[in-house]
Amino acid sequence: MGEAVVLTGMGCISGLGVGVARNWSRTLAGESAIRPIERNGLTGVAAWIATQDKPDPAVWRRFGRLDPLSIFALVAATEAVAQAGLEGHAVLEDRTAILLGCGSGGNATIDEAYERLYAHQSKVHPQTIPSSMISAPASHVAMALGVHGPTFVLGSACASSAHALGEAMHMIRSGRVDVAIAGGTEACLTPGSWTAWSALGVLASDTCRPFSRDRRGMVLGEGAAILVLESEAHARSRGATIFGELVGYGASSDAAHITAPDREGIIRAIRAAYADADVEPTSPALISTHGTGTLLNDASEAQALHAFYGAGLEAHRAVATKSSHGHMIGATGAMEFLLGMVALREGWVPPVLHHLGPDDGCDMVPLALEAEKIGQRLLVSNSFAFGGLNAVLIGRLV
Amino acid sequence: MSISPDSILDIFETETGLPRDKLRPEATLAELDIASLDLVSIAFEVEDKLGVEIRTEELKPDMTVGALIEQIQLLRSA
Repeated sequence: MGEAVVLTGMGCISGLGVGVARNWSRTLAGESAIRPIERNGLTGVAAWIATQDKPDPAVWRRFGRLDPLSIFALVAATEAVAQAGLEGHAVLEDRTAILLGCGSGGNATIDEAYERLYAHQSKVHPQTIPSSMISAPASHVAMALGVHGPTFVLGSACASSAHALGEAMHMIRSGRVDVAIAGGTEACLTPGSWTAWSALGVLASDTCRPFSRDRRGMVLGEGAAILVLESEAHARSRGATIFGELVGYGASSDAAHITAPDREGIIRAIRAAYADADVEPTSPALISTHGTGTLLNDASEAQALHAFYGAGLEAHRAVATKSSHGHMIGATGAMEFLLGMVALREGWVPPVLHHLGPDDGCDMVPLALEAEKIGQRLLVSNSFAFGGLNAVLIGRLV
Repeated sequence: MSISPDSILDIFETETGLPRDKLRPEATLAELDIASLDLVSIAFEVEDKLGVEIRTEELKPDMTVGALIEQIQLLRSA
Protein backbone atom coordinates (compact mmCIF):
# COMPACT_ATOMS: atom_id res chain seq x y z
CA MET A 1 0.00 0.00 0.00
CA GLY A 2 2.94 2.35 0.46
CA GLU A 3 3.15 5.36 2.75
CA ALA A 4 0.15 6.08 4.98
CA VAL A 5 -1.33 9.49 4.13
CA VAL A 6 -2.47 11.83 6.88
CA LEU A 7 -4.18 15.17 7.02
CA THR A 8 -2.28 17.99 8.73
CA GLY A 9 -3.92 21.19 7.51
CA MET A 10 -7.22 22.52 6.17
CA GLY A 11 -8.41 25.79 4.72
CA CYS A 12 -11.53 27.06 2.99
CA ILE A 13 -13.65 29.96 1.86
CA SER A 14 -17.30 29.70 0.79
CA GLY A 15 -20.54 31.63 0.90
CA LEU A 16 -20.58 30.73 4.60
CA GLY A 17 -17.47 32.83 5.18
CA VAL A 18 -13.71 32.62 5.43
CA GLY A 19 -11.88 29.85 7.29
CA VAL A 20 -12.61 26.34 8.51
CA ALA A 21 -13.80 27.45 11.97
CA ARG A 22 -16.49 29.75 10.58
CA ASN A 23 -17.58 27.31 7.86
CA TRP A 24 -17.86 24.48 10.37
CA SER A 25 -19.70 26.41 13.06
CA ARG A 26 -22.25 27.76 10.59
CA THR A 27 -22.76 24.35 8.96
CA LEU A 28 -23.25 22.66 12.34
CA ALA A 29 -25.65 25.42 13.42
CA GLY A 30 -27.83 24.63 10.42
CA GLU A 31 -27.14 27.92 8.68
CA SER A 32 -27.12 28.16 4.91
CA ALA A 33 -25.26 30.52 2.59
CA ILE A 34 -28.04 30.12 0.02
CA ARG A 35 -29.87 33.43 -0.47
CA PRO A 36 -30.99 35.77 -3.26
CA ILE A 37 -27.89 36.78 -5.13
CA GLU A 38 -26.85 40.43 -5.14
CA ARG A 39 -24.45 40.63 -8.03
CA ASN A 40 -24.77 42.48 -11.34
CA GLY A 41 -26.26 40.40 -14.13
CA LEU A 42 -27.44 37.55 -11.89
CA THR A 43 -30.96 36.80 -10.71
CA GLY A 44 -31.89 33.89 -8.48
CA VAL A 45 -30.45 32.16 -5.41
CA ALA A 46 -26.85 31.11 -4.86
CA ALA A 47 -24.36 30.50 -2.04
CA TRP A 48 -22.29 33.59 -2.87
CA ILE A 49 -19.38 35.14 -1.03
CA ALA A 50 -20.38 38.48 0.48
CA THR A 51 -18.32 41.57 -0.33
CA GLN A 52 -17.09 41.93 3.25
CA ASP A 53 -15.75 38.37 3.12
CA LYS A 54 -13.90 38.96 -0.15
CA PRO A 55 -10.18 38.89 0.57
CA ASP A 56 -8.03 41.85 -0.36
CA PRO A 57 -5.71 40.53 -3.07
CA ALA A 58 -3.15 43.34 -2.51
CA VAL A 59 -0.72 40.97 -0.80
CA TRP A 60 -0.67 38.82 -3.92
CA ARG A 61 -0.71 41.69 -6.41
CA ARG A 62 2.85 40.92 -7.52
CA PHE A 63 1.52 37.74 -9.19
CA GLY A 64 -0.39 39.81 -11.75
CA ARG A 65 -4.11 40.29 -12.17
CA LEU A 66 -5.88 37.63 -10.15
CA ASP A 67 -9.25 36.17 -11.02
CA PRO A 68 -11.39 35.34 -7.95
CA LEU A 69 -10.60 31.72 -8.86
CA SER A 70 -6.98 32.27 -7.80
CA ILE A 71 -7.82 34.50 -4.85
CA PHE A 72 -10.08 31.83 -3.34
CA ALA A 73 -7.37 29.18 -3.81
CA LEU A 74 -4.74 31.43 -2.21
CA VAL A 75 -6.96 32.09 0.82
CA ALA A 76 -7.68 28.40 1.38
CA ALA A 77 -4.10 27.22 0.72
CA THR A 78 -2.61 29.85 3.02
CA GLU A 79 -4.88 28.79 5.89
CA ALA A 80 -4.19 25.08 5.32
CA VAL A 81 -0.41 25.43 5.11
CA ALA A 82 -0.31 27.72 8.16
CA GLN A 83 -2.33 25.19 10.18
CA ALA A 84 0.03 22.43 9.05
CA GLY A 85 2.96 24.54 10.26
CA LEU A 86 4.67 24.23 6.89
CA GLU A 87 5.15 27.91 5.97
CA GLY A 88 8.74 28.26 4.81
CA HIS A 89 9.46 24.57 5.52
CA ALA A 90 12.19 22.95 3.41
CA VAL A 91 9.81 20.22 2.19
CA LEU A 92 8.05 22.82 0.00
CA GLU A 93 11.24 23.15 -2.06
CA ASP A 94 11.00 19.89 -3.99
CA ARG A 95 9.07 17.23 -2.07
CA THR A 96 5.66 18.90 -2.24
CA ALA A 97 2.98 18.70 -4.92
CA ILE A 98 0.03 20.97 -5.61
CA LEU A 99 -3.07 19.36 -7.17
CA LEU A 100 -6.16 21.51 -7.46
CA GLY A 101 -9.49 20.63 -9.00
CA CYS A 102 -11.37 23.21 -11.02
CA GLY A 103 -14.44 22.97 -13.21
CA SER A 104 -14.34 26.01 -15.42
CA GLY A 105 -11.45 28.49 -15.13
CA GLY A 106 -11.53 32.23 -14.48
CA ASN A 107 -15.09 33.13 -15.45
CA ALA A 108 -14.96 36.76 -14.27
CA THR A 109 -11.93 37.49 -16.42
CA ILE A 110 -13.41 35.74 -19.46
CA ASP A 111 -16.76 37.50 -19.00
CA GLU A 112 -15.06 40.89 -18.80
CA ALA A 113 -13.07 40.24 -21.97
CA TYR A 114 -16.12 39.08 -23.95
CA GLU A 115 -18.14 42.06 -22.78
CA ARG A 116 -15.42 44.41 -23.99
CA LEU A 117 -15.12 42.54 -27.28
CA TYR A 118 -18.77 42.00 -28.15
CA ALA A 119 -20.54 44.85 -26.37
CA HIS A 120 -17.97 47.60 -26.88
CA GLN A 121 -15.73 46.35 -29.71
CA SER A 122 -12.75 47.35 -27.57
CA LYS A 123 -9.40 45.73 -26.78
CA VAL A 124 -9.19 43.18 -23.99
CA HIS A 125 -6.81 43.26 -21.05
CA PRO A 126 -3.38 41.82 -21.93
CA GLN A 127 -3.52 39.52 -18.91
CA THR A 128 -6.81 37.90 -19.92
CA ILE A 129 -5.15 34.57 -20.73
CA PRO A 130 -2.80 34.24 -17.72
CA SER A 131 -5.54 35.38 -15.31
CA SER A 132 -8.26 33.09 -16.63
CA MET A 133 -6.36 29.93 -17.54
CA ILE A 134 -7.64 26.99 -15.53
CA SER A 135 -4.16 26.20 -14.17
CA ALA A 136 -3.58 29.74 -12.84
CA PRO A 137 -4.70 28.99 -9.27
CA ALA A 138 -2.15 26.16 -8.95
CA SER A 139 0.62 28.43 -10.26
CA HIS A 140 -0.39 31.25 -7.92
CA VAL A 141 -0.44 28.95 -4.88
CA ALA A 142 3.00 27.62 -5.85
CA MET A 143 4.32 31.19 -6.19
CA ALA A 144 2.88 32.23 -2.83
CA LEU A 145 4.27 29.22 -0.96
CA GLY A 146 7.48 28.56 -2.89
CA VAL A 147 6.45 25.08 -3.97
CA HIS A 148 8.69 23.62 -6.68
CA GLY A 149 7.32 20.07 -7.00
CA PRO A 150 4.71 18.74 -9.46
CA THR A 151 1.93 21.34 -9.69
CA PHE A 152 -1.20 21.28 -11.81
CA VAL A 153 -4.97 21.58 -12.03
CA LEU A 154 -7.14 18.66 -12.95
CA GLY A 155 -10.70 18.77 -14.15
CA SER A 156 -13.61 16.38 -13.69
CA ALA A 157 -16.43 18.91 -13.26
CA CYS A 158 -18.16 18.49 -9.89
CA ALA A 159 -15.73 15.75 -8.79
CA SER A 160 -12.54 17.68 -9.65
CA SER A 161 -11.31 18.31 -6.12
CA ALA A 162 -12.18 14.78 -4.95
CA HIS A 163 -10.07 13.43 -7.81
CA ALA A 164 -7.33 15.91 -6.85
CA LEU A 165 -7.26 14.65 -3.26
CA GLY A 166 -7.29 11.01 -4.38
CA GLU A 167 -4.53 11.42 -6.92
CA ALA A 168 -2.50 13.46 -4.42
CA MET A 169 -2.87 10.61 -1.93
CA HIS A 170 -1.37 8.25 -4.50
CA MET A 171 1.56 10.60 -5.14
CA ILE A 172 2.41 10.40 -1.44
CA ARG A 173 1.78 6.66 -1.19
CA SER A 174 4.12 6.00 -4.10
CA GLY A 175 6.84 8.15 -2.54
CA ARG A 176 6.91 10.80 -5.28
CA VAL A 177 6.36 13.54 -2.71
CA ASP A 178 6.10 13.86 1.09
CA VAL A 179 3.47 16.58 1.10
CA ALA A 180 0.57 17.47 -1.21
CA ILE A 181 -1.46 20.67 -1.09
CA ALA A 182 -4.68 19.45 -2.66
CA GLY A 183 -8.28 20.49 -3.05
CA GLY A 184 -10.21 22.69 -5.41
CA THR A 185 -11.43 26.14 -6.33
CA GLU A 186 -14.30 27.59 -8.33
CA ALA A 187 -15.55 31.09 -9.12
CA CYS A 188 -18.54 30.54 -11.38
CA LEU A 189 -21.00 33.17 -10.14
CA THR A 190 -20.58 35.52 -13.08
CA PRO A 191 -23.18 36.55 -15.68
CA GLY A 192 -21.79 34.35 -18.46
CA SER A 193 -21.45 31.21 -16.38
CA TRP A 194 -24.77 31.87 -14.63
CA THR A 195 -26.58 32.24 -17.93
CA ALA A 196 -25.21 28.93 -19.17
CA TRP A 197 -26.08 27.12 -15.94
CA SER A 198 -29.59 28.59 -16.04
CA ALA A 199 -30.02 27.42 -19.62
CA LEU A 200 -29.21 23.86 -18.56
CA GLY A 201 -32.34 23.88 -16.41
CA VAL A 202 -30.79 22.27 -13.32
CA LEU A 203 -30.79 25.27 -10.96
CA ALA A 204 -33.40 25.42 -8.21
CA SER A 205 -35.41 28.63 -7.96
CA ASP A 206 -35.94 28.24 -4.20
CA THR A 207 -33.11 26.40 -2.43
CA CYS A 208 -31.15 23.15 -2.27
CA ARG A 209 -33.19 20.29 -0.74
CA PRO A 210 -31.07 17.11 -0.94
CA PHE A 211 -33.09 13.86 -1.02
CA SER A 212 -36.27 15.77 -0.18
CA ARG A 213 -39.66 15.58 -1.79
CA ASP A 214 -40.36 18.63 -3.98
CA ARG A 215 -36.68 19.26 -4.52
CA ARG A 216 -36.15 21.46 -7.53
CA GLY A 217 -32.48 21.28 -8.39
CA MET A 218 -29.02 22.39 -7.39
CA VAL A 219 -27.86 25.77 -6.11
CA LEU A 220 -24.49 27.11 -7.22
CA GLY A 221 -21.86 28.20 -4.72
CA GLU A 222 -18.30 29.45 -5.02
CA GLY A 223 -15.02 29.34 -3.10
CA ALA A 224 -12.17 26.95 -2.39
CA ALA A 225 -11.28 24.12 -0.05
CA ILE A 226 -7.68 22.95 0.24
CA LEU A 227 -6.06 20.35 2.47
CA VAL A 228 -2.50 19.49 3.34
CA LEU A 229 -1.87 15.77 2.89
CA GLU A 230 1.36 14.34 4.18
CA SER A 231 3.07 10.99 4.54
CA GLU A 232 2.55 9.80 8.09
CA ALA A 233 6.30 9.32 8.50
CA HIS A 234 7.01 12.91 7.47
CA ALA A 235 4.24 14.33 9.67
CA ARG A 236 5.40 12.35 12.70
CA SER A 237 9.07 13.18 12.16
CA ARG A 238 8.31 16.88 12.48
CA GLY A 239 5.77 16.46 15.29
CA ALA A 240 2.83 17.77 13.26
CA THR A 241 -0.73 17.60 14.56
CA ILE A 242 -2.55 14.86 12.63
CA PHE A 243 -6.26 15.50 12.04
CA GLY A 244 -7.04 12.24 10.31
CA GLU A 245 -6.02 9.89 7.57
CA LEU A 246 -7.00 9.57 3.91
CA VAL A 247 -7.19 5.80 3.53
CA GLY A 248 -9.16 5.14 0.38
CA TYR A 249 -9.94 6.50 -3.05
CA GLY A 250 -12.12 4.95 -5.72
CA ALA A 251 -12.66 6.49 -9.12
CA SER A 252 -14.82 5.39 -12.03
CA SER A 253 -16.33 6.61 -15.25
CA ASP A 254 -19.95 5.87 -16.19
CA ALA A 255 -19.11 6.01 -19.91
CA ALA A 256 -22.80 6.57 -20.43
CA HIS A 257 -24.19 10.12 -20.50
CA ILE A 258 -22.80 13.66 -20.37
CA THR A 259 -25.19 14.82 -17.63
CA ALA A 260 -27.31 11.94 -16.29
CA PRO A 261 -25.83 9.94 -13.39
CA ASP A 262 -25.51 6.18 -13.63
CA ARG A 263 -26.17 3.92 -10.67
CA GLU A 264 -23.62 1.30 -11.71
CA GLY A 265 -20.84 3.86 -12.15
CA ILE A 266 -21.51 5.25 -8.68
CA ILE A 267 -21.44 1.78 -7.13
CA ARG A 268 -18.20 1.00 -8.95
CA ALA A 269 -16.49 4.03 -7.38
CA ILE A 270 -17.78 3.30 -3.87
CA ARG A 271 -16.69 -0.32 -4.13
CA ALA A 272 -13.24 0.69 -5.35
CA ALA A 273 -12.80 3.14 -2.48
CA TYR A 274 -13.65 0.48 0.13
CA ALA A 275 -11.30 -2.00 -1.52
CA ASP A 276 -8.52 0.60 -1.58
CA ALA A 277 -9.08 1.45 2.09
CA ASP A 278 -9.34 -2.24 3.02
CA VAL A 279 -12.37 -1.41 5.16
CA GLU A 280 -15.61 -3.38 5.50
CA PRO A 281 -18.78 -1.58 4.32
CA THR A 282 -20.38 -2.64 7.60
CA SER A 283 -18.08 -0.36 9.63
CA PRO A 284 -20.27 2.54 10.80
CA ALA A 285 -19.48 5.54 8.62
CA LEU A 286 -20.47 9.12 8.10
CA ILE A 287 -21.50 9.25 4.44
CA SER A 288 -21.06 12.69 2.94
CA THR A 289 -23.35 12.32 -0.05
CA HIS A 290 -22.97 14.12 -3.34
CA GLY A 291 -26.58 15.19 -2.62
CA THR A 292 -27.05 18.02 -5.10
CA GLY A 293 -30.81 18.34 -4.76
CA THR A 294 -31.56 17.51 -8.39
CA LEU A 295 -34.28 14.97 -9.06
CA LEU A 296 -32.03 12.61 -10.96
CA ASN A 297 -28.80 12.83 -8.93
CA ASP A 298 -30.35 12.21 -5.53
CA ALA A 299 -32.50 9.32 -6.77
CA SER A 300 -29.53 7.64 -8.47
CA GLU A 301 -27.28 8.13 -5.45
CA ALA A 302 -29.95 6.81 -3.08
CA GLN A 303 -30.45 3.73 -5.25
CA ALA A 304 -26.71 3.17 -5.49
CA LEU A 305 -26.25 3.47 -1.72
CA HIS A 306 -29.10 1.06 -1.15
CA ALA A 307 -27.75 -1.41 -3.69
CA PHE A 308 -24.21 -1.24 -2.29
CA TYR A 309 -24.88 -1.29 1.46
CA GLY A 310 -28.18 -3.20 1.39
CA ALA A 311 -29.97 -3.32 4.74
CA GLY A 312 -26.67 -2.31 6.35
CA LEU A 313 -27.21 1.27 5.11
CA GLU A 314 -29.09 1.99 8.34
CA ALA A 315 -25.88 1.58 10.36
CA HIS A 316 -24.49 4.72 8.74
CA ARG A 317 -25.34 8.40 8.94
CA ALA A 318 -25.68 10.58 5.85
CA VAL A 319 -25.13 14.32 5.39
CA ALA A 320 -25.54 16.62 2.40
CA THR A 321 -23.69 19.84 3.14
CA LYS A 322 -24.44 21.39 -0.25
CA SER A 323 -27.66 22.49 1.44
CA SER A 324 -25.40 24.78 3.49
CA HIS A 325 -22.49 25.86 1.21
CA GLY A 326 -24.13 25.27 -2.17
CA HIS A 327 -22.61 23.39 -5.07
CA MET A 328 -19.06 24.68 -5.28
CA ILE A 329 -18.43 22.63 -8.47
CA GLY A 330 -14.64 22.14 -8.72
CA ALA A 331 -14.20 22.90 -5.01
CA THR A 332 -17.15 20.98 -3.66
CA GLY A 333 -15.64 17.50 -3.22
CA ALA A 334 -12.79 18.88 -1.10
CA MET A 335 -15.20 21.11 0.86
CA GLU A 336 -17.39 18.12 1.71
CA PHE A 337 -14.43 15.90 2.63
CA LEU A 338 -13.05 18.71 4.81
CA LEU A 339 -16.36 19.26 6.66
CA GLY A 340 -16.78 15.50 6.98
CA MET A 341 -13.39 15.11 8.64
CA VAL A 342 -14.15 17.98 11.02
CA ALA A 343 -17.48 16.29 11.82
CA LEU A 344 -15.67 13.05 12.74
CA ARG A 345 -13.20 14.93 14.93
CA GLU A 346 -15.88 16.95 16.67
CA GLY A 347 -18.19 13.94 17.01
CA TRP A 348 -21.09 15.94 15.60
CA VAL A 349 -22.91 15.60 12.31
CA PRO A 350 -24.37 18.79 10.77
CA PRO A 351 -28.00 18.73 9.64
CA VAL A 352 -29.28 18.30 6.09
CA LEU A 353 -31.17 21.55 5.50
CA HIS A 354 -34.39 22.55 3.72
CA HIS A 355 -35.78 19.01 3.84
CA LEU A 356 -39.55 18.95 3.30
CA GLY A 357 -40.08 15.24 3.92
CA PRO A 358 -39.09 11.89 2.45
CA ASP A 359 -39.22 11.29 -1.25
CA ASP A 360 -40.30 7.92 -2.57
CA GLY A 361 -37.05 7.25 -4.40
CA CYS A 362 -34.72 8.48 -1.62
CA ASP A 363 -36.31 7.51 1.68
CA MET A 364 -33.79 4.76 2.43
CA VAL A 365 -30.92 7.24 2.92
CA PRO A 366 -30.28 7.65 6.69
CA LEU A 367 -30.16 11.45 6.66
CA ALA A 368 -29.25 13.48 9.72
CA LEU A 369 -32.00 16.10 9.64
CA GLU A 370 -30.90 17.60 12.96
CA ALA A 371 -27.39 18.11 14.28
CA GLU A 372 -26.55 15.03 16.30
CA LYS A 373 -23.68 13.44 18.19
CA ILE A 374 -21.99 10.58 16.39
CA GLY A 375 -19.32 8.05 17.24
CA GLN A 376 -18.27 7.23 13.69
CA ARG A 377 -14.55 7.21 12.96
CA LEU A 378 -14.93 6.68 9.22
CA LEU A 379 -15.94 9.15 6.49
CA VAL A 380 -17.10 8.17 2.99
CA SER A 381 -17.23 11.28 0.82
CA ASN A 382 -19.03 10.92 -2.53
CA SER A 383 -18.54 13.02 -5.65
CA PHE A 384 -20.38 12.18 -8.87
CA ALA A 385 -19.79 14.65 -11.67
CA PHE A 386 -21.43 15.59 -14.93
CA GLY A 387 -20.04 13.38 -17.64
CA GLY A 388 -20.16 10.37 -15.32
CA LEU A 389 -16.83 11.02 -13.57
CA ASN A 390 -16.99 9.61 -10.07
CA ALA A 391 -14.62 9.84 -7.11
CA VAL A 392 -15.14 8.52 -3.60
CA LEU A 393 -12.77 9.31 -0.74
CA ILE A 394 -12.53 7.45 2.56
CA GLY A 395 -11.13 9.26 5.57
CA ARG A 396 -10.57 7.96 9.09
CA LEU A 397 -9.66 9.32 12.49
CA VAL A 398 -6.20 8.19 13.52
CA MET B 1 -7.28 68.84 -21.12
CA SER B 2 -3.96 67.70 -19.72
CA ILE B 3 -3.64 64.48 -17.77
CA SER B 4 -2.65 64.80 -14.11
CA PRO B 5 0.38 62.82 -12.94
CA ASP B 6 -1.86 61.42 -10.20
CA SER B 7 -4.25 59.76 -12.63
CA ILE B 8 -1.27 58.09 -14.32
CA LEU B 9 0.28 57.06 -11.01
CA ASP B 10 -3.08 55.53 -10.00
CA ILE B 11 -2.76 53.20 -12.96
CA PHE B 12 0.89 52.42 -12.15
CA GLU B 13 -0.04 51.57 -8.59
CA THR B 14 -2.96 49.32 -9.55
CA GLU B 15 -1.15 47.48 -12.32
CA THR B 16 2.20 46.94 -10.57
CA GLY B 17 1.03 46.59 -6.98
CA LEU B 18 3.85 48.93 -5.96
CA PRO B 19 3.15 51.46 -3.19
CA ARG B 20 2.88 55.10 -4.26
CA ASP B 21 6.00 56.20 -2.36
CA LYS B 22 8.16 53.85 -4.44
CA LEU B 23 6.92 55.37 -7.68
CA ARG B 24 9.33 58.33 -7.47
CA PRO B 25 9.83 60.35 -10.69
CA GLU B 26 13.56 59.50 -10.87
CA ALA B 27 13.07 55.71 -10.40
CA THR B 28 13.60 53.69 -13.58
CA LEU B 29 11.31 50.88 -14.67
CA ALA B 30 14.23 48.47 -14.20
CA GLU B 31 14.92 49.67 -10.64
CA LEU B 32 11.26 49.19 -9.77
CA ASP B 33 11.46 45.66 -11.20
CA ILE B 34 8.29 46.20 -13.22
CA ALA B 35 7.75 43.05 -15.26
CA SER B 36 7.08 43.31 -18.99
CA LEU B 37 3.60 41.88 -18.40
CA ASP B 38 2.85 44.76 -16.02
CA LEU B 39 4.17 47.27 -18.57
CA VAL B 40 1.82 45.89 -21.19
CA SER B 41 -0.99 46.14 -18.65
CA ILE B 42 -0.06 49.77 -17.85
CA ALA B 43 -0.12 50.60 -21.56
CA PHE B 44 -3.53 48.94 -21.88
CA GLU B 45 -5.04 50.81 -18.93
CA VAL B 46 -3.54 54.15 -20.01
CA GLU B 47 -5.19 53.74 -23.39
CA ASP B 48 -8.45 52.48 -21.89
CA LYS B 49 -8.82 55.05 -19.13
CA LEU B 50 -6.92 58.06 -20.47
CA GLY B 51 -7.29 57.56 -24.21
CA VAL B 52 -3.54 57.68 -24.90
CA GLU B 53 -1.97 54.95 -26.96
CA ILE B 54 1.57 54.03 -25.93
CA ARG B 55 3.60 51.67 -28.07
CA THR B 56 4.92 49.10 -25.62
CA GLU B 57 8.23 48.82 -27.48
CA GLU B 58 8.89 52.43 -26.44
CA LEU B 59 8.86 51.43 -22.78
CA LYS B 60 12.59 50.84 -22.18
CA PRO B 61 13.94 49.52 -18.85
CA ASP B 62 16.06 52.66 -18.29
CA MET B 63 13.05 54.95 -18.67
CA THR B 64 12.13 56.79 -15.47
CA VAL B 65 8.62 57.06 -14.06
CA GLY B 66 8.82 60.83 -14.55
CA ALA B 67 9.80 60.48 -18.21
CA LEU B 68 6.98 58.03 -18.83
CA ILE B 69 4.45 60.40 -17.25
CA GLU B 70 5.77 63.24 -19.41
CA GLN B 71 5.53 61.13 -22.53
CA ILE B 72 1.93 60.19 -21.78
CA GLN B 73 1.07 63.86 -21.19
CA LEU B 74 2.86 64.81 -24.40
CA LEU B 75 1.05 62.14 -26.44
CA ARG B 76 -2.26 63.41 -25.10
CA SER B 77 -1.58 67.00 -26.10
CA ALA B 78 -0.21 66.02 -29.52
